[in-house]
Amino acid sequence: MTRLPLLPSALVLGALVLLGCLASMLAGALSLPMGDSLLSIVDKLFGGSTSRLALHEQAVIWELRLPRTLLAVLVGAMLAQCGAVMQGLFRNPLADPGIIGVSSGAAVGAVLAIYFSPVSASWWTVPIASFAAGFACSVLIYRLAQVSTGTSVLVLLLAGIAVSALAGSLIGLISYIADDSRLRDLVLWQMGSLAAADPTRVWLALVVAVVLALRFQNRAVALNALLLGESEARHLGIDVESLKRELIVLVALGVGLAVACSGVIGFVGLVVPHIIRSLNGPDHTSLLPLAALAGALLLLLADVLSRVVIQPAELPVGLVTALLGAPFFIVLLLQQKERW
Amino acid sequence: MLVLERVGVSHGGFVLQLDSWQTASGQFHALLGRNGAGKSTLLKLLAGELSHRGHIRLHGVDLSDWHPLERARHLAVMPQASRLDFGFTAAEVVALGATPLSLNWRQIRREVQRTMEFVQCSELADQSFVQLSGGEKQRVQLARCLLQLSQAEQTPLLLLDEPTSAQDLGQQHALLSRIRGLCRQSGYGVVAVLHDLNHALRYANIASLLDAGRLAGQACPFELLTTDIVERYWNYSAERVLSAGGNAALL
Repeated sequence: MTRLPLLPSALVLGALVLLGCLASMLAGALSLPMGDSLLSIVDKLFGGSTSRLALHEQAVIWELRLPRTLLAVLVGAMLAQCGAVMQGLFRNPLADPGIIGVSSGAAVGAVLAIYFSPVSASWWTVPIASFAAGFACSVLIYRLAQVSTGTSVLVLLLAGIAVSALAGSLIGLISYIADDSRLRDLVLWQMGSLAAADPTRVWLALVVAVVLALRFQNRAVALNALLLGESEARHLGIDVESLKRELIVLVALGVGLAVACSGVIGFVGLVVPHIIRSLNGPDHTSLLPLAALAGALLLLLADVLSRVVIQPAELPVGLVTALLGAPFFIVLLLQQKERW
Repeated sequence: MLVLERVGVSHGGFVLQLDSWQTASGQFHALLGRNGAGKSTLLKLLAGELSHRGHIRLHGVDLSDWHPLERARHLAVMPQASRLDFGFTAAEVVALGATPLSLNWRQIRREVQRTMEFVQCSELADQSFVQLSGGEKQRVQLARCLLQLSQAEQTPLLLLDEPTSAQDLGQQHALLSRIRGLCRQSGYGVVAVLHDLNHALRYANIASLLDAGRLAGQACPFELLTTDIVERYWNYSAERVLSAGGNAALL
């Protein structure tokens, strides 16, 4: 089996992420001359005033597109890493926070917070509520799916359907009683969108993404051992219970925050780790950083796509990732169905 | 090296009771008995997987008092089957044995090569582990266990759950004679659940016979496995023969 080495892969992905950032800064409903937009970026990075963009045009780039671009990078990286970790934790390549219902659960928390808390407090109540709800769902689904030989895919997916259905009905109920302005927010929330990006969300996502990336990397070797089975990991000296507890909390934190910042964006956590595993192998020490880069890239591209396909309107980015990811998931199921 | 004192365990409705049991460095200790006699439960108990009454001491220290990483460097368990669902190569699976060790990647690579050569599975190194046959997987897992024990400061103990259940005839004997070599030359302690009594006769130097969760006998296999015992505990009237080389076999 051939494996692409870590460093060159990371460099290529890193360069692609930078290009993706550039594309994201240049794309949008308001069409700005590309040359001047590029010059505006150069001006900002190196000082100078060569760009001929008007002030309000500069504001579009720096106050709307920059936070949105950074949020896409951070949320994409978090979702891909959470997907990879969740698959390791469940020892199952099909576990994805979206498919098994954790994202929908987190969305219920977010929606409740949007509905019940005053707008001024929503910047902290929404992330906390979606984390708490995502955490409760993770624990519930993990407990449900445990069988003597590990986790059952069948129960995992069925639990995902059940939790998503329950979440859907709760969100439906709140949407039904919500007023018109909140209704639109709630509907957009479920489809996932990066349009609400602002500095607060970016800083929050940055802090959580860095904490997550460091903790996940610290646990990468233990996660590798866990893939052999819980007993085997224990025999290799891993404290399996504390590992599982920590990872479930971290994944719920990542998914909860991603949902709070940008709504439900599915399939990034499924598609990205799968592609990286097939190219670079399943070793978490390389999978996790590469998945973060590739997740950032995928969400950047999906967001650019969502902004340009029906200009001047926008598609919710969650629809784009679902359109790309759902067929991918079906192909995976077809490939692996013989094993169950 | 491993001593059990007044140990009792209840696992899934099954009760195992051992007043005194031990195994020493350099011993290949076979656990024998019919299905449901308690062999696998005892192996799980020795691996520290079951909560129990009494004491299990490895090198004089209670199993639960060992630091988990330190214990992992001295006690490895080779599972009978593997449930790995991810696309590791065989060499990467062996390298997982380095989890409790402090080795850099160069040392790990060298140790992976050495242990895979020892278990005669070097040719599998780059193949996908999931696609290997059951026997090949067992050999790779054994190499992983040996890597895990490669930094032990005191004599390591290797626990094997039917290590040859998926091997062909030639591989069964090659594997068991290598394991016996580890005991004789490196002083490893080995405790293995064996179903084939002829393997016990040929390779083990001590055997414990379990029946209904109790120790029914312990002796060197040559003395323990008489035709009477085989008849009583396995309901099979066997014939015992001696080869020209002095090896006993049950037919």
